[in-house]
Amino acid sequence: MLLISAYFSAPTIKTSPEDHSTSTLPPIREISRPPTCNCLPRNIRPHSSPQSVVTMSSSKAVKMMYNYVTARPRLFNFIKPIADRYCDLAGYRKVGLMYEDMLREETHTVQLALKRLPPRLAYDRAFRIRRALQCSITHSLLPKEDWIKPEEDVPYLSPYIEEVEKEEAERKMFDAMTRK
Amino acid sequence: MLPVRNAVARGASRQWLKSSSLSPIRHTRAFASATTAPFTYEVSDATGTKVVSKDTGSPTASLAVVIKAGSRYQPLPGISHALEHFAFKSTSKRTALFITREVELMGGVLETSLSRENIVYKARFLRGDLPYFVELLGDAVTKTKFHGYEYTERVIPALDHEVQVHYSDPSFVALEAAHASAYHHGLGLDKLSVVRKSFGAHEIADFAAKTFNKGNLSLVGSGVSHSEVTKYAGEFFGDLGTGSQVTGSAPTYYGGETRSWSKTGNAVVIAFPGSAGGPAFKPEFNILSYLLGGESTIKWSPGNSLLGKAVQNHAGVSAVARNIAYSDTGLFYISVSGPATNLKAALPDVVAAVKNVSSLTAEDLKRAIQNAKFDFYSAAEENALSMESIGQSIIATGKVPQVQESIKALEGVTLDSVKKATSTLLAGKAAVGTVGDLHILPYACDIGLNV
Repeated sequence: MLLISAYFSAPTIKTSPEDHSTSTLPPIREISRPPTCNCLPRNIRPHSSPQSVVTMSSSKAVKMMYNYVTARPRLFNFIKPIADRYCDLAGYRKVGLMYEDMLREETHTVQLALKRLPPRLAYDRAFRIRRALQCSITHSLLPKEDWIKPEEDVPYLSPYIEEVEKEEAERKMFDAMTRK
Repeated sequence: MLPVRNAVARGASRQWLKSSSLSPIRHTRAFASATTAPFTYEVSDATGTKVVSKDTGSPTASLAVVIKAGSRYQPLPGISHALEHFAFKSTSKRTALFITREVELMGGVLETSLSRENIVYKARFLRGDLPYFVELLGDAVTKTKFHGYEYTERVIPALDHEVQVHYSDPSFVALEAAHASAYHHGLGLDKLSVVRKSFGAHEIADFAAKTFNKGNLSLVGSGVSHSEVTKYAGEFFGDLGTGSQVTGSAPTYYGGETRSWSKTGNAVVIAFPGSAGGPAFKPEFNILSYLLGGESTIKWSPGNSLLGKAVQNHAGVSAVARNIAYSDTGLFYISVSGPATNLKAALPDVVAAVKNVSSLTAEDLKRAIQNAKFDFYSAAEENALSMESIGQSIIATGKVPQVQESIKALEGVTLDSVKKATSTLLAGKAAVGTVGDLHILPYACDIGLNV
C-alpha cells in the first residue's frame, strides 16, 4: 500500500537525478550521467504525471496500475489526495527519509545501483539514513522544518535500478537465445 | 560419416545469418586474378572521412579505425589508454553486452590497440558482413556514451590488469625507460595509464570529442571492396564532426640513461634516433634491423645475424633489433634481456656487434633484404597487420606507401647507406633504459656507448 501511495504521491519532477539534491554541500562534479528512462507511455498528461517519474521497478503490477490510473485523469484526481495523505501518515518523511531510502537493498541489483549513484546523491542518502536511525533510537521526530517535503520525495534511485535490471534482462535474453 | 555430419551441422548453424556471410564470395572473382594487384591500396574520401583499403579477395576481411589520439597527444596522463578501453562500450544504439554477443554470433572479432601515436579500433569478420561492421565501428566512434559506471566497473579493472601485465615484463619497462631518456616529453611519457588521476568519464568523453573527428582519423580496410566500404563509411561515419588534427609538441631527441629496479627480470634497451614512418621512411634502418636481427628464422638455432652470434655464448640472453616508426620521427632500438650476470657479460658483445656492421659484406646485405621482403609481404598478405601504419600515414600526409614502392625501397638499400646510418648512430648519443638488478647491470658508458 505504501509503495502504491508513494508512487502516486511522487511530485512532478525534474528530469535528472542530479538536480534534486537538497544538501548544502559544495557541488561535486558528477562522473556519471543519469540513465534516461522512457518506460512510461507517452500518452500521459504532462500536468498529472511527469514522464520522468520513474517506477519502483521491482513491482510490475504497481507500474501497470499506475499507468492505468494516470491515463484516466478523473480517477487520478480522486486517488492522488488519498495517496498523499497516506504517505504523510506513514511518517517516514518526518524522520527525514525519502521513500526510496527504504527500498529493499539486500539484492544484487540494488547494491549495484547504489554503487552507481553519483557521489552527491550517495552522500545525501547515507546522511538521511543515519539521521533517521538517530530519530529511531531517541524515539523522536525531526523538527518540522527538517521534514522531507512531498515535492522533495523524488525517485532518485530507481532510474539506476532500472538500468541494472535492463542489463540483467538483456543478459538473460542472450543466454537463453537459441539459433534458429 | 563424420565429416559429412559436420558439414551439415556447420551449414545449419549459419542459417540464422540471413545476410548470408559467405554468399558474396561466389560473385567475386577468384583469388588474385591477373587484372588487379591485390596489394594496391585505394584511397578515397567518404564525406570527409579518409578511407583506404585493399581488396585481397580473401573470404575474411578486416577493418580498422585509426585515430590519432595516442599517448603523445593526451592532455592528461593515462587518458589515451582509458579511451582505448572505452571502445565498444555502450552506445546510444546498443549496450556493450549487446555488441559483444552480437559480434560473437556473427563470427567476428573486435580488437583495440594503443600506441604512442594512435588508438586503433579493429574488427575482423567474414567478408559478407561488411555493412554491419562499418556500422558498428561508426557507432563506436560517434555514439559511445561514456557512462561513469562503465568507467568504474569495466574500464578501470581492465586498465589495472593491463598495466600489471605489461609492467611485469622487464623488456617493456626498459623500452618505456629508453623512450623517456630519448624524448623526455611527448613520446617520452608513459604509454599506459600508470598514473591515473585528475580525470573521469567526463574528461574521457571530452578527449574523445576532441580527437574523434574527420580530420583526425582514417578508416583502413583489407579484404573489402573499396567502393562498398566508401559507400558505407559515408553513411555511418557521416555524424563525425569536422575538425582538425590534434598536434603534439615536435619531438626532440635528447639521449641519456634511465635505470630502474625490478624484481621481475632484467632487460636493457639501447635506442638511437631511427626512421620515421610514411613517405619519410628510411629503408636502411629497416635493413639494419634485419642485419642485426636477433630473432632466428630457423628453429633451435641462434641464427646467422650479428646479434644472434653475439649472444649465442651467453646462456639465457636474447637480443632483438627493431625500428619503431612514428609519424615524424623514429626510434631504432636493441632490446637485450636475460639473467643479470649473463646480461652484463653479453652487453659489450652486443655493442661490438653494432660496431661490426662496418665489416659486413654484400652477401649479408642480400640476405637481410630477402628477410625484410618476406616479412613485409607476409604482413601485407595478412589482413589484420600493418593497418595502423597505413592509417597513420594517411592521417599525417594524405598518402599511402604502396607495398610495391616499399619493396622497391628495401631492394634499393646499399651497403654504404647502411654503414653510414650505423656510424651516425654510434657517433650520436644513445638512449638507454636499464631495468632489473641494478647492483649487477652496467652503466651505458661501461659498455662503450655515448650517453
